[in-house]
Amino acid sequence: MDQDFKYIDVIENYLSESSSKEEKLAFEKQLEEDKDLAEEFKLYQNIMGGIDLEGTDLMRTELKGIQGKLEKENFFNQEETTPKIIKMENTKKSNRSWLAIAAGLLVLIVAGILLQSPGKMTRAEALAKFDHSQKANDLLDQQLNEYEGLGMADPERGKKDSIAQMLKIYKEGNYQESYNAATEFLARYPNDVVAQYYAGMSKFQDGKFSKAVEWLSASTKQKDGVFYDQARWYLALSYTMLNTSVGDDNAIKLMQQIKDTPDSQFKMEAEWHLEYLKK
Amino acid sequence: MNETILVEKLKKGSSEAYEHAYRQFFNMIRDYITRNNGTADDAHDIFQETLIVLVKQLRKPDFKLSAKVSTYLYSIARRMWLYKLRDRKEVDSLDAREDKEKLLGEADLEGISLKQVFEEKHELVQKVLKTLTDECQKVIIGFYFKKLSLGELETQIGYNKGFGKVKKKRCMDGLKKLVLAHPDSKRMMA
Repeated sequence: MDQDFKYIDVIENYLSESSSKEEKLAFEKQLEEDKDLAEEFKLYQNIMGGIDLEGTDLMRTELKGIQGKLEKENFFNQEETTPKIIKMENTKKSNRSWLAIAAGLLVLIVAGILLQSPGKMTRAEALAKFDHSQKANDLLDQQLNEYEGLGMADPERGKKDSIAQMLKIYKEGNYQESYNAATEFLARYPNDVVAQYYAGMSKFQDGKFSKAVEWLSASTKQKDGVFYDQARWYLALSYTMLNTSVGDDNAIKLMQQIKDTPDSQFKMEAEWHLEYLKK
Repeated sequence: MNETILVEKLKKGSSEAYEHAYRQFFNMIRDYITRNNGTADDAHDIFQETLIVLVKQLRKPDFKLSAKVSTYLYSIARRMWLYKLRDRKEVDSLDAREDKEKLLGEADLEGISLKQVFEEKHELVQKVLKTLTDECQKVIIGFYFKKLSLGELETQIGYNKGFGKVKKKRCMDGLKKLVLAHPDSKRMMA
């Protein structure tokens, strides 16, 4: 075989997009007849395979460098280190302290709203911007009263006891266990909106937002229930916390819906988050 | 960086675009992998390989990106992870039934074979390529791997107009000579 590439222009023309059908056919015919061309073409293809290997390795090295740079910035730990924002408390035991904390928070929140521009915060700070623990606790207590106060004659007692148990675990703040209890229940009753909602909320409380999205999204399918307003709100927050372009698109859509819902409890918050997300 | 600029910069192998892709899309891929029995390290490996597949696809002249970059990356990553789980025989641990069905039914994603074949002869060429001058390596990788035009190559390396083609030919001839002169060449290239 000739030591230099004798046919490189012909080969590259054949492989290029600009080569016509006739040119391609002519090359293929020549390939059958010309042994030197056939050998050089085969070698050319192997050389391309080697170049691709080397190019891929170089790209891998470059990506590793970028990964290292981002690691130094702590970029990859941002979601994992997100603080648990809404810690549930036992409302029956600590109503007084709750009132004091709520009053203090209200002052801080109002001051915060007045002083802070939405665009300058991190996602975690934006998530912590509003305190919704009272709304969430009210809903939880309402559900607990409903499921705990059942008569012996209720035909669904076993099912409802499991829900009550899961709600109690959630209220104690043991979110991994409440999630396990909720998903165990969902294995038997996959469409139960209470279990879907608290599976999602357990993950939300644990800062696992993609899993929270999965369950909260399921729980928003029932639009007329008591969970809908809160489920949609926490779903929007979970999307925000994913910190991805798709997540942001979904968060914006949901925040807009919330803002446009006259009786939503989260209208003001949604308005603020919309401004934050659009900046 | 908007989507069009990102795609163009990824094609050219811009570090800025790679970093942007990490910042925008890594968390999404990590969430999927860790939700499906993988670790953060698995997510790093899969993300890296996914980005490589995307960039290589973008460089194909007949390739048209029909979805958003995030959607495309997510589909490739998901498919890659399914392959990996299948190799580890952990498919049953997947929490998405849809994924299991996909794994059984599909092998390729828009013509991308995810099964990588490393042939010995390609490794030999790679080994020889590394012995060329830095300048020749830059020319060959730039033109054949990054798919830069001769004009772009000339600007990037600082050649006069028209010299890119001459240099590329010289470098390729040099590479061919070295490959053919390698003791294993006869056995492998036959």
